[in-house]
Formats: sequence, C-alpha cells, structure tokens
Amino acid sequence: MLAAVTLFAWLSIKIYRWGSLNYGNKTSLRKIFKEALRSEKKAVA
Amino acid sequence: MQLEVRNITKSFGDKEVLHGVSFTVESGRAMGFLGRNGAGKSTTIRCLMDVFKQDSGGFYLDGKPLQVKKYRVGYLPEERGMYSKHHVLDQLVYFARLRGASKEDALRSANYWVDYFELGDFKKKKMETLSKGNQQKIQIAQSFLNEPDILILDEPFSGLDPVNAQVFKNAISQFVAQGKLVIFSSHQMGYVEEVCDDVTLIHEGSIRLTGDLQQIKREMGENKLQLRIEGLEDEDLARALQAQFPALQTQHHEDGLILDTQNQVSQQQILAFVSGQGWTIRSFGLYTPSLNDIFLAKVGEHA
Amino acid sequence: MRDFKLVYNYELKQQLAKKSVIITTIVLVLLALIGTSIPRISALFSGGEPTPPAADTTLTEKAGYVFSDTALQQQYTGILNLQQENLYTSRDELLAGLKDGALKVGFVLNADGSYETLYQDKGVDDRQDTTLGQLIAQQQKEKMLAARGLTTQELAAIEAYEPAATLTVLGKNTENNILLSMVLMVAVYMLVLIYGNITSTIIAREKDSKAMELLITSTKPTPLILGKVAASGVSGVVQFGAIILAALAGFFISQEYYDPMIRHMLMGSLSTGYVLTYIYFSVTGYILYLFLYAALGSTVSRVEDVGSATAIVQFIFIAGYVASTFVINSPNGGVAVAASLIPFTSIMVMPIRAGLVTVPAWQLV
Repeated sequence: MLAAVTLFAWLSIKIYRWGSLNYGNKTSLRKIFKEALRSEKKAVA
Repeated sequence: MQLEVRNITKSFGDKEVLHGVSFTVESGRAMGFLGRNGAGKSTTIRCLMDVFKQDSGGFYLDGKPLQVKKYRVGYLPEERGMYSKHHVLDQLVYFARLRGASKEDALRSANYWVDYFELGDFKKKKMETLSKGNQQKIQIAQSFLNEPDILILDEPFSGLDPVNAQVFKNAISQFVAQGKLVIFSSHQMGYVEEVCDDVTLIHEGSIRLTGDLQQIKREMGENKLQLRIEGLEDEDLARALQAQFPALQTQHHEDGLILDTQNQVSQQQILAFVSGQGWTIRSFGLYTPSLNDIFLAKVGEHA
Repeated sequence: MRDFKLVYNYELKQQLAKKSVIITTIVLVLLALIGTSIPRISALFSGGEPTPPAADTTLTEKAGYVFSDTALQQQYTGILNLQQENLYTSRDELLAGLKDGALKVGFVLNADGSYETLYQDKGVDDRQDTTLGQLIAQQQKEKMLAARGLTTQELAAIEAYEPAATLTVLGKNTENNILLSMVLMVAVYMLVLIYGNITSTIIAREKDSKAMELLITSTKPTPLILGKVAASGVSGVVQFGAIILAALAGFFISQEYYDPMIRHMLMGSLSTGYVLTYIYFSVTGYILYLFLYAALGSTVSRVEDVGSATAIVQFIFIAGYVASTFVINSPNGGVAVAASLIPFTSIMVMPIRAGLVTVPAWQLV
C-alpha cells in the first residue's frame, strides 16, 4: 500500500504540473499520461 | 543585473510560436515588450517564468542560467486570477511567503502595497467583493510584494483607469530608480513611451526591433522632417514638394506630412521653396516618430 | 518542507474556516449525538405509570355469533364477554345482519372446533377470522391436554428445554464483527467520496480562477500538491472524526438502553490488531484516492467539468465497495483475496476481511 501511495503521489505531481496550464483544452487519459510522463528536454543555449 | 534572452524557440504541437527570440534587459531601465495579439509576448514571458519549458534557447542573468525561483521575482500574469473566496490580505501574505518572505516581512509588504493602492478598507474582504479594477490593483500589488529584484508584468495597464494607471506608473518609476529589472508587455503605447527606456518589438514569434527607445526614435527619424502648411491639404503639399524635389519621399501622418529627404534635399532647400510659394508654415521640424508610429511601421506593414 | 507547511497551513485554515464546513459539522455532530441517544430518549418518554391496555374489541365489536349448542355458547360468552347483541340464533340471521350493516363479521361455531367466518366485505386489515381461529385452537389444545392429564403451562415448560452449550472461537467471530465492519466501511466510503471531490474541486477552481499561474511560479508543484492533499485529508478526518466521536459519545452514554445483541455486535471484538489494520488501510487508501482526485482535478479547466473527470475514480471506488459485499459471504474466497491486495479496492475490502477472518501477515503489507 505504501508503495502504491508513493507511486500515485509522484504521478499526481507530474499530472498536476502538466495539467495545471492546459487551459480550456479537451484531454484524454492517454494524452495525460503521455504528456505528463514525457521527460522534458533541458533548454540548450 | 543584465537579463539575456537567448534564442528561445517554442512550439505547441506542430506550430512553432517563437522563432529564436533574443533580447537583453538591463536593471535600472524599464523595458517595454510590445507586439500584436498572438505575437508571442506572453509565451516568451511564461518561458522566462518557467511556466512552460522552451524547446531550445535559454535565459541568463549576468551570464549565468536564470533560475527564477532563486530570485525575488514579481510576476503579473496576463490571465489574472487570485482566490476569489479568500480574504485579500491573507492571500497576499500567502503568496509573499511562498516566494520566500518571512511572516513579518510578508505582512508588512502586503499592508504597504494595499495601502499604496488605497485599498486599506478591503484587507479583510473577500476578493470577489472588490470591483474588477480594484481586483486588478490587488493583482499588481501581489507582484510588488517582497521588493522584487525582477519585475515581469504582462499587460499591467489592462483594466486600469487613468488615475490608477498614473499610480502604477509612479510605482514602476520607483522600482526603476532603485535599480530593479523591469519588463512589461502592453498595447498601450502612450504609457509604454512614458515609462520605458528600452523597447523590444515581437511579431509572429520573431523580434523585429530591440534597443534604447530614444535611439530607435532617432534612427527611425533620421533624415526625416515634418511639415504642416496653413490652409493646404497634405496631399496637395506632397504633390507640390515631389514635383519640386523628385528625390523626396512623403508619408502622411496625423501631425503633418513626413518628408524623407534621403539625404538629397536639405532643410534650407525645403524652407526656401515653401517661402517662395508664399505659404504660411504651421509646423516644421525634425520628425521624431512616436512609439505608436514605430510599432505600426514595423508591424503594421506585415499585417 | 517550508513551502509544504505553508501550503498545508493555508489550505487547512481556508477549508476549516469556511462557514459551510463549520455549520455542516455542527449539525452532523448534533444529529450523530441525538441519533445514538435515541434509545435513552425514548426510554425517558416511556417512563411513569404504565397505562392499562385498552380492551380488545376485535371479536366483539359489531360481531355476531351462532353456536351449535348451549354449552359452547356459555363457554365463549365467558371468554369473549359477549353481550346479547352479539348472539344470534341462525346463520340466516347473521347474513341478514351483515347485509343491512348491523354486523361487520359473523361467526358460526361448532362443538368439534370447526367454525365459519362471514363478511359482507373483507378488508386488508380484517383479521377477525384468524384471531378467533387462534382462540379456538388454544381452547381445543387445553381440552386435549386435559384429556391426557397435562396443563398448557406443563407443555410450555417441556418446549422451553435447552441444553447447556459452550462456544469457543479460535480466530474471528463473524457474527460479532460484521456490523462494526460494515459501519466502518461506510464511514471510509463517505470520507473518500466527499473529500476526494472537494480536493479535485479546489484544484480545478484554481485553474478556473487563474490563480494557478501565480502558484506554480511561486513554488514547485511538489509542495503544492502535497500540501493541498494533506490539508484536504486532515480537514476530512477532523470533520468526520468529530461526527464519529459524537456518535461514540452518544452510544457510550446511552449503551444500557440498547438491545444487548446490538450492543454486543457494535462493541465486537475490538482487538488492537483489527484497529491498527483498519487505520493503516483506511489512511493509506484515503491518501491514495486523494492524490488521484487531485491529479484529475488539475486536468480540467472549469469546476463544472470535475465530475466527468473524476467519474473513473468513483467507478473504481464503487467497485471496491461492491467487492466488499462479497467478502462478507466469503472472506477467503478468490474475489475477496484479490480485492484486498489491489491498492484501489483494499481500502474497503481488507479492513472487513481482517475483521471477519485471520488474514496472513504478508497480505497486510
């Protein structure tokens, strides 16, 4: 249970960060997982 | 302090909205970030504030990569919003503390700025009970909390009446005088012209113009004169002048005909011609484009 | 950590200070206290001199009787306290009385114990025929017992015989714990559904009001979400805890007025192990669901869309609730074991299983 709680806490932080600015756009579970878990590229000078 | 925006590109899906945006901002000088609706101003600002991650490029403060959360940054987003059902002072203190202030400093700063904007009576009221204009002022106050070193304001004049706009301008002038780094985007050229030392113009995701405003005005006004004749329409004047001086290019303007001498016609020649015609000069002098003129010249032609 | 505490304290203060929350909690606390004190309250009202029961007129009011012989008539006149207007000489007289409304019911009694009941119209509540039947049966039984030299009291004493019995349960006693387990399961169910929706609504409202952009530029998302979930969780526990404490207080104050069987079932065998298992699974499951609700709340832009976004979580949760009903009948069955191991359903199922049977230690992690 503790492992599941930790996993879902991490997942929800990812989804929250991604979803927090998805203003007004319709979305699906598939898109949520794909976008939220994608590692973001570091900015290159 | 010098903030450098270096080669920022950003796409949303298949559409690239920022194409290698670059400019610099110095502290102690307010920078006006101008552009049409959808030009990319807010996207650039949001990348700067780490709301979005840019696809490439970076932001540097004094040569080092900028980490926004490590500095005292006051941010006013374009899409305004605070907690409508929470008390004004409570949430100002909350935001200030989230940005690193101690409880005492946050309270002192919040009280100061609420009083500065003459909203002392609303400290214990819920945000939703304030008028839209007053909510705007509270939002602006939120960005001023904790004496930020960097101020980033997206459309700060939107929704402010002239009196409050003046109050806000005075506050900006104070920050600039204290050597802070100030960037704000706006469509209101009059206010930007009054407050800003530097301007950056973005159009369709690319920078068209950046630099010292007075310098830009001089450059765009170089070799240009402005003339208005009593009782003579600008079209007639333009025709007469072009007949006399074929190299002269003219452009209509609400304040008088603009004459681009192309360095081939001197002021004296033009004055001599006008006197010879017996015309009465209403105004004549060097042409200094307004910011509105610069904006239209750089952006309007690409519409 | 600092930012987490800031977010947590602010959100908790805002949630608990809401007028609606305070009023709702007070109302529910009072209802819980009064609800569990009902046995005591009803005992207070039923105290004092008992009023004598009203005389039963079922078999005499507007009833007519015809007896096959005089001895039978005398017997039942004494038992039923029949008056002259109840006595008729023939069946035809009874029929006439029923037709003209003088009588509601008519009876024809025979010496062998058989009888006929006559109605003009028989309503749903008209039970005179069965009432008289029971009376006649009792009379006939007494007669038959007397013929064998026994009284009805002697027969009752024989029928009341019960052997002396001793019950020893090595594990859990399903009968004792079932009611308590169900009550606790419903409490967790309500807690997760209500506070899960509150959490996702709070987050969606931040997007709706555009406060979200200020928040994420002020601090990292980790303390934001941890703080909000913790604050929602704690405010739910505080509110529910107050209600449950009030219910417990009402129960303990009034426990002597409760039916002994109900009292025994509610007290159950509240072992430390069971309580700890319940708390562990309820708390971890509650937190798990709050995180899910928070994540889903951040995917919508308007508060009105929260319901559709969180529908899937509610569906999973209700599936757990349904699985828990299987557990009651078969605590060690396949469905029960599987459901108690899946994190989303174990919040509901494992506490019940742990209350009904002894669960292996490895399944409790």
